[in-house]
Amino acid sequence: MATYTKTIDPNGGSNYASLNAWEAGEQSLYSSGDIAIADCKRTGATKDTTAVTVAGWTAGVIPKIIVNAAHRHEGKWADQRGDGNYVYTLATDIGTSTSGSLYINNVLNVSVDGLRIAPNYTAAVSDSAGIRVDVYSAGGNTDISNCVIRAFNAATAAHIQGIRFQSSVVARVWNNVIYDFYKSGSAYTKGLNCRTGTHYVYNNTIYNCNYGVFRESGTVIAKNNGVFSCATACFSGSMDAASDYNISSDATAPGTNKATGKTAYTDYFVDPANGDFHLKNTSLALFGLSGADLSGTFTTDAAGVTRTLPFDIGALQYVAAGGTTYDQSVLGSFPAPSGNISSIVAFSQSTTGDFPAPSGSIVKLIGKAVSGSSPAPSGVPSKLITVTRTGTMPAPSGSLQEAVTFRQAVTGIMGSISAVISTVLNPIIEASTNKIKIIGSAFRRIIGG
Amino acid sequence: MAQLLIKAVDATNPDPDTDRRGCYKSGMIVEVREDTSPRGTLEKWPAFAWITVPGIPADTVRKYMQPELSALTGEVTRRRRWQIRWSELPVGVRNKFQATGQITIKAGGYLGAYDYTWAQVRGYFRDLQTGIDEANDL
Repeated sequence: MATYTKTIDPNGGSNYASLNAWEAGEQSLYSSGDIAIADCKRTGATKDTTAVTVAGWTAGVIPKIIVNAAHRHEGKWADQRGDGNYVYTLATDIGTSTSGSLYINNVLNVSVDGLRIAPNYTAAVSDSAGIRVDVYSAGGNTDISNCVIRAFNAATAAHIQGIRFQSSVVARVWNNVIYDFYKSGSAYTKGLNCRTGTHYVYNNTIYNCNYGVFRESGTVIAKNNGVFSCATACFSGSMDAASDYNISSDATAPGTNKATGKTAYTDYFVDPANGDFHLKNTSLALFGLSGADLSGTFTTDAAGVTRTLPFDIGALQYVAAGGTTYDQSVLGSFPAPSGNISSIVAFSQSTTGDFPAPSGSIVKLIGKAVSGSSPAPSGVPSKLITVTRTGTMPAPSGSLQEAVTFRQAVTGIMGSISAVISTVLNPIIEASTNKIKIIGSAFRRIIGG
Repeated sequence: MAQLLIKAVDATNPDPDTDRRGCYKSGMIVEVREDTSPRGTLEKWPAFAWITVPGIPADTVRKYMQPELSALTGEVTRRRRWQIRWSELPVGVRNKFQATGQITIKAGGYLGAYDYTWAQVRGYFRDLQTGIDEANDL
């Protein structure tokens, strides 16, 4: 069992320039139990415009389509993120294709996470979807999470869906934003269509569709969903008895705990007309209802924000102004402080704001910087001092020691003979004149004589 | 200004139905792009081959990447409706693919360098649903 990650970027510099080409290149390369990941990036303005079908894969291989955190949407309809990065987008002209933008055709255990999908309807097509799933074999799940799916020109189509489960044994759908699958008078234009199998539908936001969550057949367990402004019905069909904590703009939300008749959309959402369904307050404050605790299943929202308890209803957790609680596991790790004081100050500010206290190594780094009391260097510093002294000491020369020794010797000898020098001066001269070699022993003899 | 990404090796699945519906076979057109579009580092020979058709809009040749659908149910019955008769390509074309991973086709009013004309290669494009080879101009 191994994991094979390939990069996708329509702007080049990657393994594949489209998801479709990735699928074609990878579909039969691996063995059962292997994981094949499409790491989707978008480093320029060009979008991925080719519809994708996932089919024919080797049984047991797990394909995962995951948008890279740096190119993931921020929970709203925008081509670029706040940091300027482009959002990976699958923007396809549907034409007469019933497959839609992304079609999972009888492959088990496919995961789709963080994708922004924009099907553009150019013909009167039926049953075409942003994501369509036809899975007939048992033994696995289909997971669709954290996607933003918006229909363009839905009025041109016949009947379409944001996500269509034509057939799916087990489907898990959470944290998705689906909107604008609406056509006047269309009975089969839906945000989410569930047909056969078991569908776990958690924390989705669905807006401006003919139907929001539509149970055509099978089991649908709907929790924490917010479904609004759906012309025919927000929820349709009998939901499983475990369904609870849903909100609707009409009276159809299932469950014992629910909120219905919620139609003041601009009071609830930041900018619903332009695809920003971030809540303006907690769902408890807005709707009088918090969501069930589903933290055992997932812990972030569609934008990667950590969900705190209580869960808010819908795909996006409310974040109070002035702070955002990010999940490091989703957004990547904090950059390592480089020793620059200003960057350390920035971390300090984040700890005093609404960020959670940084854990692990971050805390330790801040502690050192603020206190200024670095522990006494041990080991390496002492060695460094020794090296420094040795290096800067002038090298003693042998001549100095010889000079001192010589001076002492001369002083002692000269003192003993100075008084008689004058008396033997002439003999010395005489001796010198007579070319007598003057050495220590000879000198003494002269003095003595 | 089209370039066609062609599957150059068969993908296979032991289940015959899955193999037929889902697996790309050599000679199937995976994707049509504008010829200014970048190519991925793994989109190359021997897994893939490229056919560039300068001067021809991508939309003109996009039909070659449509799946084969059941006329009765609309379900996908084969991964692609069109397939280049890969094993029957002339030796010169195969050698060109092996050497460079691509060939350039002259079509329309294109006046630049090319390897073959559309008239020379179109007969290798077969409609699997009808069994008829392409005879139309681009």
